[in-house]
Parts: sequence; structure tokens; C-alpha cells
Amino acid sequence: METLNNSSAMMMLRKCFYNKSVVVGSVILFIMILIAIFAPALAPHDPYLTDGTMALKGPMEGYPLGTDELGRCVLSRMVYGARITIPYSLLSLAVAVVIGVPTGLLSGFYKHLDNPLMRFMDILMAFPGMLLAIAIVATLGQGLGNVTIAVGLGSMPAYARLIRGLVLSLKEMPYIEASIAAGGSDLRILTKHILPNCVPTIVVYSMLEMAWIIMSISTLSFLGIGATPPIPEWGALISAGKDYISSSPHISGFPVIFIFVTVTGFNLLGDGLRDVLDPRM
Amino acid sequence: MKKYLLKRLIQLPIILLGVIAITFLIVQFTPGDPAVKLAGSSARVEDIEAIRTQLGLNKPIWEQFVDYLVNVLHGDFGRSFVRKTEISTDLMTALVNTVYLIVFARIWSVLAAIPLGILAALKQNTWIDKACMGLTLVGVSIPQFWLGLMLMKFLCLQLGLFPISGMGESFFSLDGVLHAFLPALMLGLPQMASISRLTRSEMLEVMRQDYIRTAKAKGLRYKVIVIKHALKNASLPLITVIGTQTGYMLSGSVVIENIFAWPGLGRYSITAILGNDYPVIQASILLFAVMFLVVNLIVDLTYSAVDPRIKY
Repeated sequence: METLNNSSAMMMLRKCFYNKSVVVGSVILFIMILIAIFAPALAPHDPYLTDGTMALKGPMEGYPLGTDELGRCVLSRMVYGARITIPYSLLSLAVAVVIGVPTGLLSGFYKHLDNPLMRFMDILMAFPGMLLAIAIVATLGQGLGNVTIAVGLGSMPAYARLIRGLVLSLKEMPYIEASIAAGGSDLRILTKHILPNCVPTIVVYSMLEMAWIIMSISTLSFLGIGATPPIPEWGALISAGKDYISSSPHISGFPVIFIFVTVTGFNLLGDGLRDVLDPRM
Repeated sequence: MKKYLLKRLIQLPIILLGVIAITFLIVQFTPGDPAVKLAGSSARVEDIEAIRTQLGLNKPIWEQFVDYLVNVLHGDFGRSFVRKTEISTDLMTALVNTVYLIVFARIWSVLAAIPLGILAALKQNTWIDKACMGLTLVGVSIPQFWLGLMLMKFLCLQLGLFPISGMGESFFSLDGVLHAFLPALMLGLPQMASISRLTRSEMLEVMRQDYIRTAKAKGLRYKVIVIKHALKNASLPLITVIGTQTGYMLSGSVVIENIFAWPGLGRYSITAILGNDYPVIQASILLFAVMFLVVNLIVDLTYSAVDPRIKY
């Protein structure tokens, strides 16, 4: 950001450091990312290795969280699941941001584009988020990759709306008027002046959106239209464990904890960053 | 106000047309030939050709769209590929079941959330406040589908308090209410969480206002101050959120209905997706969107009716 000098950046950082939600949220997510990166070192077993003699065992030596119906190590599957759920959720977020933000920028900046683009977003928003995703999955077909795209497209219209509103208010700022008067090209004004000022809002909103995305991808996998066995996606793990919920609650119980912790992490970080970066939201 | 109403009512059919177009395109972009799917794997080429003509699949795409549009406006969604039944009849039954569940969930969640939020606000920073808010945070971050399964396990299988799944004979009998209890509980839980959080923050905001201090100084009873003066003024944002969240309950119902085998729109649509039953997918998603639009329109209208300061 051009306008942000060193001292104010330092102040922001300090504010973040003193915000309990930001600290707790980032620590949680940092640990989750470490788990995903070091999954091969952390997992005691191969997450895909089945062993009929070890099926449906509770926690014991060598298998700290027990085994599933095919004798696979629950801990290993969960840890490797972080390598599925987190990157795919980020990919989904990227779909939403890469399409939603430029749409919002153009819609807010060019008056003649505003009406058609926003009416189209209105139509997409007539489908409640998850149902839009379900509709897209119905078209593209089932599977984790398609669910990822669908969930991203499902949260895209909200980005377009949010950024459009922001651009409309930024456009009236004197420094934007000044750069228009100085003969700056539209592209330059949009990318160098307007976009950087949208970044805090995008970051805050993305953290909160990530919570929704993780939940949606897991939910769709749980319903059986997302990740298919043997992919250790957390929602799919819960779905696989649901038939054994009475005898072996650990199979579905532990992945739930992972989802809960990760979603809480994003919610906390988002809430905290909102207080620090963008009190208007 | 009149002008706004008019604008909304003009906009509605345009958006509706777009929604219908999108549901039409869902099927157009799907891989495979619907006529082949409908005819089944053992069909002869002539049969497939006959079905294609009957469905109008040999016409140009825009003519197909016009046909689709006319049929939809007449309430005709065609026949299910899988069950071969008339979709509009199935759809109506499913719709009624879903609406029942949503109304049930809406009522309990509001009745529980508002007192909880007020309590948390009045006892701000005490353990009561922290317990309430902690509980609501858990309510939004725990996967609903898992919570539903656990409740099913403990309350239905182990304690036998509720029927395991499905729907009772009649909505208004004890059996019907017992069947709907757990799905409605699960559907309302995240709602309860977010509404009580909002009630708390709105009440905290309002209780700091000067007119509340004046009311206290006048010696009004605390109950009167909280309910008549504070809650009334805090209720406006609550109404908006309760309204818009009701629309989002449609998404929630998809998950809940599938867990509890509730024969509503959500279960109907997921079953259709898993079975590649495109006309049913098309029809149920369209109906979801229409319901969402209607709910949002009602919210906007009540909003301006409740607060006379709002002029569009």
C-alpha cells in the first residue's frame, strides 16, 4: 500500500498483537497449517493402508486415535485430511475472490456495467449460497474438485456486492478525483488506488468466508456429493464413520474436532481483524 | 414506499426469469443425453428417438427454453427420470414438509434466542454472559450434520425419546411433533446462536442510550424498561436478521432433512442429484430459489412497515 508508511504499519501490527481474537485465531491456523505441511512426519501410518485384522479398534498403542472400519489409522487419515480440506478450501476461496473482486471493481467503477453485472449477481443471489453450490454440482457432476469450484462460485456474488459498494464510496474520495484529474488511466486508478484500499475488507471478509467454505465443502462431502472414498477429507471421514457412531464414535468424532477447531480459528481471526483493520464492516 | 414496492414488484419477474433460465441451463450443460437416460440402458434407438421428439429435445435451444418457461409457469415440471412420477405433485408434498420444519425451527429459535440474548446483555461480563456466548459460538462452529447424528444416537437410539427418523402421520398430532422435534431443533440451533448474539449486542447498545437512563431516573420498573423501551428499539435489526436468516434456513434444511430422512425439498433434491434425475434437480432448485425470493421480499416489506423512518 503506497499510503501506508512504516510507522502506521507497525501500529497495525501492534494492534493485531494486542487483539486476543487475532492472536488465538492465528495460532490455531498456524498449527493447522503446520499439521498439513508435516503430515507425513506426524502420521504414524499410511492413511490409505487397510488392514482387515485391525478394523474398528479404539485408541491403543501404535494407533493413538484407533482405527476405522477398514483398519486404517484414524489419526493418520485426519492429519492427511488437513492436506485435503485446507488447500481445497483455499482454492474455493480463490475462485470466489478472483471472479468476485474484479466484478465488484468494474461494477462500482463503470456506471454502464453496474446495472447488468449487479442484476446478474441478484439472480445468482436468489439461490441461497449452498443451494447455488448444489445446483452447480448438479451441472458439473459430483466430486471434490467440482464441489470446490461450486462452493467458490456460491460465495462469489457476495464479494462482488461488497467490493462494488466499497468502490462506489471510494470513488467519491478527493484523492481518486485528483488522480482522475491528473489523467491517470482507469486501469492505473483501479489497480493502484482503489484495489489497495479494498484489501483490508477483502482480507477480513475472506477469513469469515473461509469458515463457511470449510463447512460447506465438508457438508457436501458428508452428503455424498463431494469427496469420495478413500479421500480423507474431514466431511467424508465423518460420513464414513456415521454408520459406526454407536460402536466406534472415535471415527467420526475426531474429524469433527478438527473441523470445529479450524472453523473457530478462521472465525476468531476474522472477527479480530475486523476490529483492527476495518471497523466499518 | 409505493414507488419502492412498485420497483420491487417489477424487478421480481426479471430476476425470476433469470432464475428459470439458470435452472434450464443446469440441464443443458450436463453431460449425456437426457433421452437416453430416460429410456434406460436397454432401449432401442427408435424408442430414444420417440422420447426425444416427445420431450422436444430435437428443437433449437431457444424453443426448448420457451417450452420450458411455459410449462414452468403452468406448474408443469415434467416427469421424474427415476420414479417416473409427476414432479409437481411430489414437489408440493415436499414443499409443505419443508415449510413445516422451517416454521417449527423458526418459532423455537426466536423464542429461545431473544430471552437468552437479553439475559447475556443484562448480565454482561458475568459467567452467565460468557456461558451463553460460549454456547452460541459452539453452535455456529460445530458441523450441524454431526451434532444431528449424535442427538439421534443418544436421544433416539439409546433413550428412545424420539422416533429415529422420517415423518409422523399428521403434523399436528403428538407423533408428528415428536418426529419433527429433533430436525427442527437442529435446524434452529445455528439460528438461535446468531440471533442471541445479535440480541445481546443490540441490547448492550440500546441500554447505554440516554433515554434508558432517563427511564431509570424516572423510577420505572426494570422489567418495563428492558421490554418496553430497550427491546422495542433493539428489535429492528433483529427483524431484518431473523427474516434473512429464514431464507438461509432453506440451505440448512438440505442437510438436516438428509440426516433425519425428512421427506422435504432438501432430501428430494439431494436424492435427485445422487440419482442424476435432472428434471427433479431442476424443479427443486427452482422452487428453493422462488421461496428464497419470496421470503426476502416479505422481509423488505415488513422492514419498512415496522420502522416508519425508513423510506425507499
